[in-house]
Amino acid sequence: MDGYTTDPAITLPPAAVANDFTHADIVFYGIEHRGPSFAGRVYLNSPDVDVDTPRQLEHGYAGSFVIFGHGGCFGDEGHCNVPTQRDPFDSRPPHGLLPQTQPVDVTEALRRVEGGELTVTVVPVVRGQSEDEGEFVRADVLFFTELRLLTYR
Amino acid sequence: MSPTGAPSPLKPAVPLRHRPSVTEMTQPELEAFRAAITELLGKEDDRGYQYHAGVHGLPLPMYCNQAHGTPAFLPWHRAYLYRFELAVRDTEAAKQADHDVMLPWWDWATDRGIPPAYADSDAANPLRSAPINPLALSQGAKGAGAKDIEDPDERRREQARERRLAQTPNTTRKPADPSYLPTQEQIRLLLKEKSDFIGFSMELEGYHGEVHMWVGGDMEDIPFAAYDPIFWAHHCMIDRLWRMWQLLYPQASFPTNVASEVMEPFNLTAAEVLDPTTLGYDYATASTTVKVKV
Repeated sequence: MDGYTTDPAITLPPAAVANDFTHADIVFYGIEHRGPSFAGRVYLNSPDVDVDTPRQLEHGYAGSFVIFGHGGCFGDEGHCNVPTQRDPFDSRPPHGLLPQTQPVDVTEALRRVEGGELTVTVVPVVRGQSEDEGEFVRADVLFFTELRLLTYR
Repeated sequence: MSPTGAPSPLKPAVPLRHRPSVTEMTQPELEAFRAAITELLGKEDDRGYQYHAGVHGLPLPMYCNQAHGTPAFLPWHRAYLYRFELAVRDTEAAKQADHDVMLPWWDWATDRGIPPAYADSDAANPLRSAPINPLALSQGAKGAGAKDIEDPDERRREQARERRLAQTPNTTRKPADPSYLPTQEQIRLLLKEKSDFIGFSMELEGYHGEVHMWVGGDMEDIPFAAYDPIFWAHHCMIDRLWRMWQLLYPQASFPTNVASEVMEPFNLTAAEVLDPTTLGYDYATASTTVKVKV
């Protein structure tokens, strides 16, 4: 599987170990979306999953986020480069390719996790263009900078 | 919920028009809608289909950059549908119809497949496929030009370029197995459990993306998605779900920093599109009119 898996595993906070939460999210930050559309399927403590793994709790499936991708850059050189600095007097809308933030509700899946460690696996799935035009894993579409596990009491 | 809408505080309330379910359109309704789309396809100026489809993606600028992965997702697309619907209603075919010609919605959670109205392979069916603006195709091929493919971004651009060059000039679809579509249960839970706007909007945008990917072909690619006529029916469903949510949670707040944001290029703020009745439409699933002669 050419996706992403946390390494090393996340040490769960005591509230998560004790199942002392009413809601839990995993939030992905800095997601690139300038490429093709894809779904990021999120599994907990199931690092060996792939595109065919059922999206069911008993297989560690927690939820998905979907990126409706920009599809590439269609301007001239530099058109899709996100500026790193912004003029304080620049009132134009922000660059359209600023990375995205996507939360995934993992409440039920996290309740099933046993022990004090958690691995988060993201399987990036695209459709079409090869693999007989069906679903397949494409590693080069998934880029993000950070993930956070948030639990709420 | 009001059966009327007031275009502005200075104008009187008037009867609303209702967007129909695509599976419940009468034959005259469907024929009038198809005639209106055919008429729009024949217009080459900024009243025509190509102009409106291009606002979402190519040709540049891609205005929908404002609307994906942001809190403007729902208001931007509501403004977009509103403007396109006005163009549909401006056609002679719509004006001559004896009913309101409105954009239909496709309930993909219930009708789990491309609706027959959009799948019918009759050559005269404008809802099955539409041409893509040659300038959009040209930009799609040019901008994704081959550069240093060692950089992951460049490699993706190269792959996009290959797809563009191989593409036919008309929209295509490659629907997946219907089991991949969002389910009624998922939508029920979304409406039941997400009482805050941001949470609702982000989850609904995820389901929206799943449907784009399910339809496949051009629908899964932002630059060309809106050229496929089913784009509008899909987004009317998204807009309808937002309307249903608004009725369920009338006290829910809307982010104040987004409310004053202008939805480009429609010259409408998010606040101005929050209430669809001020835009003249709603989503009653049944409407019976009795004309009275005086």
